[in-house]
Amino acid sequence: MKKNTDETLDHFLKIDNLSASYGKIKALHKVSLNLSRGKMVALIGANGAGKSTFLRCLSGLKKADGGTLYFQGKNIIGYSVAERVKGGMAHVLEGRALFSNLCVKDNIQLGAYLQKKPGKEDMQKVFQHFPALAEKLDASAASLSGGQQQMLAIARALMSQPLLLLLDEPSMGLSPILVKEVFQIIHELKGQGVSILLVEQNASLALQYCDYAYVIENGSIVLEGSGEFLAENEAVKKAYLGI
Amino acid sequence: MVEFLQYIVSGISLGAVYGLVGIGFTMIYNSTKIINFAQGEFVMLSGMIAAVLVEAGMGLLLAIFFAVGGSTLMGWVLKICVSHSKKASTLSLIILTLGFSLTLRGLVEVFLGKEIHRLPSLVGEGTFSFLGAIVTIQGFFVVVVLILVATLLYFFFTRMKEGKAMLGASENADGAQVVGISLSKTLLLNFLLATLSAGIAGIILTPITAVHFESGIFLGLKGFCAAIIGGLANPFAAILGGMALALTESLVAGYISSEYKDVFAFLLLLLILVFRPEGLLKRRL
Ligand SMILES: Nc1ncnc2c1ncn2[C@@H]1O[C@H](COP(=O)(O)OP(=O)(O)OP(=O)(O)O)[C@@H](O)[C@H]1O
Ligand SMILES: [Mg+2]
Repeated sequence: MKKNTDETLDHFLKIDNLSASYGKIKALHKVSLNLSRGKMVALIGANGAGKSTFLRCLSGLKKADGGTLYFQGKNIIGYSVAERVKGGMAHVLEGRALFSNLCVKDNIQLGAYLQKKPGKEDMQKVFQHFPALAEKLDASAASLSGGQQQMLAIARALMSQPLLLLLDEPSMGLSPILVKEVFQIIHELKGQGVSILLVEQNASLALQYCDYAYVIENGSIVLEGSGEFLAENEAVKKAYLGI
Repeated sequence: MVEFLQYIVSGISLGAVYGLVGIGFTMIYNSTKIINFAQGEFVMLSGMIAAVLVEAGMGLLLAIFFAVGGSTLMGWVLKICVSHSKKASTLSLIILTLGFSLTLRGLVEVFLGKEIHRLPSLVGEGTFSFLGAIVTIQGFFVVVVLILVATLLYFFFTRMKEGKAMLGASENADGAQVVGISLSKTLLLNFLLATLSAGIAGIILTPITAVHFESGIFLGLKGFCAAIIGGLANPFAAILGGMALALTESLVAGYISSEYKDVFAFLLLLLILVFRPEGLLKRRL
């Protein structure tokens, strides 16, 4: 098994022994994970395994109990959500977390809330990935289809010009065709140099697209390796790929 | 006909006051899901401060500045109390606002006295005739101020980044945080705007009705009804609710008896709660 240790020397994203809990419930137990610049890493696991909690600790929505979190060489564990966004992290939340009653345009513009001068060009650039949204600027987010809502959530996150995109189950609730489309866009973004940490229950696609993957169970990482390696693993096949 | 118009005219200026108080209820409700029962006290506080300062010899404009500033400052204090009890349930927070209102009322009673105070009008005491109905300049001024405040707020919420961020934060707190919006900041802005509009209401209302330390109870109740009747989803619905409430009161007082006006006002509230619980205006901003 080839570990990706030498690639992670850049400390682009390096998490060590991260723990988190909700009251007495331990949701994460000493999770360590690495992601080097420009790569796509997948985190797969069953319902309630702690995937969303992990992403929430990374973006700062949830306070970790302990552990270190290096992003671009700095330990950002004490940073606020806004500071992490400024630093280049963008979190696309599970369930999308759109501003449902605001229009598409306002949703996208609020994505650039911390940008000094949210330019028209930034928006145009984002629309290159999501041409369908450009035609619905005045529609409320709630009126969009599920697929378009997911696109909008990603578009909003891109407006902050992120270096690292945290994606929480982007394929949830979408038809297979739309899932393919979403993955295609994620792949495009990676091609443009955006690093991606993808949380998915749709393990087969996630493993197919990612450079490296981790399996989380009950708040602990139980397995890691390249996508191909995990896709061939008997336990993974049985538990997550349904083969 | 002239009689009818007269009732409408006085209803509209009363409705403007209810609306102005109600706007604050809606703003705080949308950011915290709590009903701020201290809202009426901010109206009273601003009226009391202005009246007492003018009686002490201060110029009217300067007194107004201190009055509106003072009540807005108390809004800031209330926000700090609410933020500090972040983990408390909505019900506890509502009780907190009740406690805050009792405290404000008590402090005013102790430091500014139990007497009824009056405040000279900013625009004079004149009247003019409109299609035969008599309109007081003060009553007209209330409506002008309401339109001005509502327009500014509308501009703020629909055109300015901070305003949209406030709407966003009330729609989805997580979504707002991940784009870098500070929930604490938007909460503060909500409280400041809500108490600022209450302070303004106090300044324009006191010359018409006079003020004492218990005036806030009644005003808060009416503003609350205005917000519920209009619909809590949209700050401007409170204006509609205020108008509906005040016109009902004014018409009942005119055609039936002023003894029944509150009965009908609460009947209207009850009907709305039963048949249209989301209020007259469902649409969000
Ligand atoms: N707000 C919360 N309060 C209490 N417990 C929580 C909360 N959020 C999550 N948990 C618990 O923490 C554990 C991890 O949840 P988490 O949402 O991170 O899992 P997940 O892997 O994202 O699951 P899913 O695939 O369903 O999204 C679960 O046991 C869950 O019940
Ligand atoms: Mg999850």
